Amino acid sequence: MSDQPVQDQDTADRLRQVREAVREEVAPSFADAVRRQHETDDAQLFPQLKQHLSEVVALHRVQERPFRSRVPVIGPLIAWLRDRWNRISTTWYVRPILEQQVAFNAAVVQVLHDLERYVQVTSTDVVQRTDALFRITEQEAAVLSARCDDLRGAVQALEAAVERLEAARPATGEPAGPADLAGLAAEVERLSSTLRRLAAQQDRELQTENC
Amino acid sequence: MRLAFFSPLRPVPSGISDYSEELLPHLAQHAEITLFVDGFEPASPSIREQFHWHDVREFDALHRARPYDVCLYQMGNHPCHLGIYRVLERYPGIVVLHDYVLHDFMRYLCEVEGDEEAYLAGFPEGEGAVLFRRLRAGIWSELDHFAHPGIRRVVETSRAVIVHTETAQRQVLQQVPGARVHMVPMYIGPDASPFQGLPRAEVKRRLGLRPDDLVVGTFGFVSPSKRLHAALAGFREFLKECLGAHYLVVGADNPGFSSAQLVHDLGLDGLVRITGRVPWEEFYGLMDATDVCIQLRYPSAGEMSASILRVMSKGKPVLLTHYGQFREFPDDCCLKVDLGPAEVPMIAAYLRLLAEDPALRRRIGENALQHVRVHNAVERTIAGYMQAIQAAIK
Repeated sequence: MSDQPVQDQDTADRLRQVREAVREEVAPSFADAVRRQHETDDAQLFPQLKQHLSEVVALHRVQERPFRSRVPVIGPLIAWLRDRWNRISTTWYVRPILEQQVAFNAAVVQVLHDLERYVQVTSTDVVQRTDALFRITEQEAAVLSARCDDLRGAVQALEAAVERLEAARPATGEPAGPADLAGLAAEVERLSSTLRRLAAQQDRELQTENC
Repeated sequence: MRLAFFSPLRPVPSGISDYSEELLPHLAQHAEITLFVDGFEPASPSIREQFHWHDVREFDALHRARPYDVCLYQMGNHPCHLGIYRVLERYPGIVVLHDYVLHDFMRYLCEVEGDEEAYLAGFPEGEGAVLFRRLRAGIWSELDHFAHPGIRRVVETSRAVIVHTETAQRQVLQQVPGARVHMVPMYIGPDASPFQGLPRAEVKRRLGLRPDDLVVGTFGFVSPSKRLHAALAGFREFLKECLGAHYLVVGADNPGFSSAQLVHDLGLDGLVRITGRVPWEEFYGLMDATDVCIQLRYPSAGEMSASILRVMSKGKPVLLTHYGQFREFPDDCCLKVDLGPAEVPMIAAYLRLLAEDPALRRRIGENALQHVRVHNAVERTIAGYMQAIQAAIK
């Protein structure tokens, strides 16, 4: 509620009515409104991670390549000579194995990158969703507070009306004019009491919301 | 009384620079003031002529030679306050806390200055370590930012704190119970418009606007928290029923935000004039052309908006967010807008009402002007400052 007193009750009442009219028209679906703003774009990350993981599985075994020769008859001899030669030049034998190892390592590194990115995005996503939830709650609380303010304003306006009516009543206590002012005042008082109760109810809802 | 006054001043592009320059001539009637600035030369000739000024790095020597009675620090949530922060750590004084949240500033201390200790000291025991871990992991959370304001060290090392709203006062006391916190209404300087006294239609004509158009304006730095997207969306709704209207966006875009892009995306090209940052006289002059102002803000760091007070002081009806410190304004001098799904339709409804009823516009504007005249009178501000100063130096 405003900390400064309202001087111009008519204007305050009129503006409050505008707010109430809009609130009645608009369904307060905060969750939907905020959810739409927080869609994340990580849908492709997990499938990509799975694909890279399958590559790692396929590449993880480093296989030796036995010497073979398709040449008829002397093929085994050739293979034997190659085997002998390997003792001189192991690199010819080792290089393909190393290449397999390097390919495997590269795949592992890729998976680790994916995992790191996935964890990062997931963490950020969790934080964003928590923040969104916070914003929903805070905005709803702000709107409830605004409605409480307006209800209190309405109560004050009614109380002022009651005071005016009581002031207008003749000193004798007799009703003034055709309308029974005392009855009217009682009616206004009743309405005022109802509004006060509603405001208190809203306050309780707000406190529950904040908890 | 000798008062050391630490603040950004023009040309530093900050609302606090404007605030201090408007306040200083009045405060100087009650104290002998020396200004301390952080690595720049004050741009305003009147400030240079009226006050002695030094760089903050000279403070130690000057204070040793002849101690000041009190240090007054104008503190905000921006790196331009770094030099001020370094002094207030060592010389407890009175801190004017313009932003209740200093988390951005704390992040700067940690990430750019490498001062992890200062970051941790900004928060209650235990909270700082958790926040620091997230910061190191590169995870930025809006919730962290606003729910953990990072004001602990600034408040605890101060002899007194001045804030400009009762909401901020409550929030500071929640963070640091027992702190000495004074609520002093914000003062804004006099009207600088070159069009004072001219009829609004004439001002519109001189500024190239159609005199019969309803001119809606938003004034001050433009950032996502100023909710220009909601204001313009409400304006667009309103235009469905009223074609004779124009929108002015007066103020610099914050880095990373483009008003022009937003206007384009909403299909409002040609109906919105974006001026960017303008000289002070033009800023006030453009207010003279407006019929209605929209000054929304959410989320907020608990700060009072000088722009809201300025447009109210010009007798303009202003739409503002029904939230936090802005709830403190009386209901008869502004038009409060709900957050959430009702925000845009409420803006449109208010604009329709005000377009149809010039007498109501005038009445709300007069109420606004009266409120600022009484509540934000310079006498009240200076009395509040002096009370806080006297209480702190006792």
